[in-house]
Amino acid sequence: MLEKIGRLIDTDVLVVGAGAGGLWAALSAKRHLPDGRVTLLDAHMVGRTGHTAFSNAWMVVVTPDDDLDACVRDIVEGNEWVAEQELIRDILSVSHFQLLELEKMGLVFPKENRRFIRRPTRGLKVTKVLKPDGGGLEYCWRLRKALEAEGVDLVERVFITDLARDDGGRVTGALGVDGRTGEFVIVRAGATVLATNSVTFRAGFVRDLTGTGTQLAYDAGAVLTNAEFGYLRPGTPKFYFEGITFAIQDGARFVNAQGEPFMERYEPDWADRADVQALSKAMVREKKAGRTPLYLDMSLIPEEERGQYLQSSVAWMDYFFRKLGDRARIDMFGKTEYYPLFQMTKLGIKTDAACRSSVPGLLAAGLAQASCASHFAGFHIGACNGTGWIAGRSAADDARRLGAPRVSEGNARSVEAETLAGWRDGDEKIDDELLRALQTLIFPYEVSVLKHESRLRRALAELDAIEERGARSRAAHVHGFVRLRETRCMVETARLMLEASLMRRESRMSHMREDYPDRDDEAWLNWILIEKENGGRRLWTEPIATPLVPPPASDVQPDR
Amino acid sequence: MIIDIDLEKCTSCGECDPVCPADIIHMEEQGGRQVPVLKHVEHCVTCFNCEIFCPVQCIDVHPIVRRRPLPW
Repeated sequence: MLEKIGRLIDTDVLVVGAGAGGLWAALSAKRHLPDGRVTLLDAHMVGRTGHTAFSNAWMVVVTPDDDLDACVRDIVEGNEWVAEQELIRDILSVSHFQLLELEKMGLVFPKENRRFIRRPTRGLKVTKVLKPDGGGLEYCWRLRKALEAEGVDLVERVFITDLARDDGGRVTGALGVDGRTGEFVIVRAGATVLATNSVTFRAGFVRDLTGTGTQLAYDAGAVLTNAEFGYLRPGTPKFYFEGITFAIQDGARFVNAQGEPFMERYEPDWADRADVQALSKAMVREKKAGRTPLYLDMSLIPEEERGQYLQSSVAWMDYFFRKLGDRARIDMFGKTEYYPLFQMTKLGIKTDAACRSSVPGLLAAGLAQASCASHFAGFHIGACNGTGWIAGRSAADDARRLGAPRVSEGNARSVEAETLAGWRDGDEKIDDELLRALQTLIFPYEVSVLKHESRLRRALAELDAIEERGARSRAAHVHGFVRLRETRCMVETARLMLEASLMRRESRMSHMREDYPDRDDEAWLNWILIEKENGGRRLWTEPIATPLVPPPASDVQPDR
Repeated sequence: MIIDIDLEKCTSCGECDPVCPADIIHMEEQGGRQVPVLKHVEHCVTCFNCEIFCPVQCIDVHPIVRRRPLPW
């Protein structure tokens, strides 16, 4: 009797993670399975927490007036061909429908002369982005209300520790704990969508994100990819600023220790308007040339333009900026020291164009799904919206097709025992100590930004000790248990990141090898795929399919 | 990082507890009423959610964030 082991939830479709991908996956699953049960589960509060809620919710939308093929080409070129082309086309194809749905939910997208106000975004030539009034908080809240109205069940404050599988290897739900009470929770589901974002190392603006769903999929046998790529961006340790793109459009410039603007030296066409990873790479080159510290000079933004930064539509930024001067005595319109920051990995679950993973019953949406390897302001949430809709539709089909799910009582009991032991007689600070050790290993630019074989091998050797300590550690309470599981996920991800980075012997986008500085389309238009095998892991390559946008001739680099 | 909750102004509405993405604010019985108690405050992510959703403005979040190891 599973009911005697923990709180039992039965559902046709389970969606884990309530950011843009999960919210849309739950809505889509319900629309495609109107008589079925759909459950959206989150570690915190649906509609109020998570990275989408803390964002501007800038999103890519392709309207009927746009050239869809040109936008697909734009995104594929921007990803230097490390992209699932058919999925990107499908994401963009559904984006206008989703925009109209959001409007029906009461979300307001500013218009001028009855046309949506849209802006260009870094690194893309033709694809435009727009955002709703109220930013991500309003976006998530409206979607939550729509889910409630359509009968989706919301389960909050539950942290998933394991996926349930039947004898045939199909994922049949998830197991976890209430993050406050420690109650054991069993979800039996016909199909499970993981929408738990990317794995981060709690850097910069994404301290709330850990991306543990990717690790769950890996443990369940799913294939992962894009471990060697990351989201690099300029950041300052003094405060969090999510507006570099538009600050630069309004006049801000990066300058070096001599006060010289340096971006034109590396990006003659784009200069400071280059995408964030190009900015980060240029910062590394300035460092190597001995011209640090580097600054973002916001004093160049005209006085009359500054008000819009201090009255952000993102609620937390609005509070933050208003308090910076008064409470922290920081003038954000001065010269602030900046660094290239490794904000998050691009490691994700490899799926087909229907968002199905390699494991039956398991799907992926949002940034837990590896549709592409680069980052553009607006495309992240655009991709989350689209993969959410597609994954929810596929999950509804799978729940119907795969039949009643079975969760083994023996498996549930052993997971429960291991889980409850996870915070018995443990260490109060172990999760913080391990995290600090991991950050100290990964954050140096010569490990995660400018890579070299010798340094990657050294980091891997040092990671062994952190991993070993993590494996034998226990927490002191359920809060610490959740943190410790998250940190272990980061440690495992660091290993995959370092090993995949060793394997890719070229430089492409955020993956910058000092010992292989050039892009190599002949040898490396490949995915690096990873799966668990015999207690270890297997890494191998497969060619990237290019059915819609052919790669450039071998001696021609794209005009970016 | 969250630094202060003015319990004299607090109405015990509990809005601040679930909106915290770091599980830091716990509503607990104290002196015969439910009050927000701070736990594991070092894990605050400085998202301002508690301050934003407090209907009586009794919470103060300081904008300075905990330092992480730097790239150089």
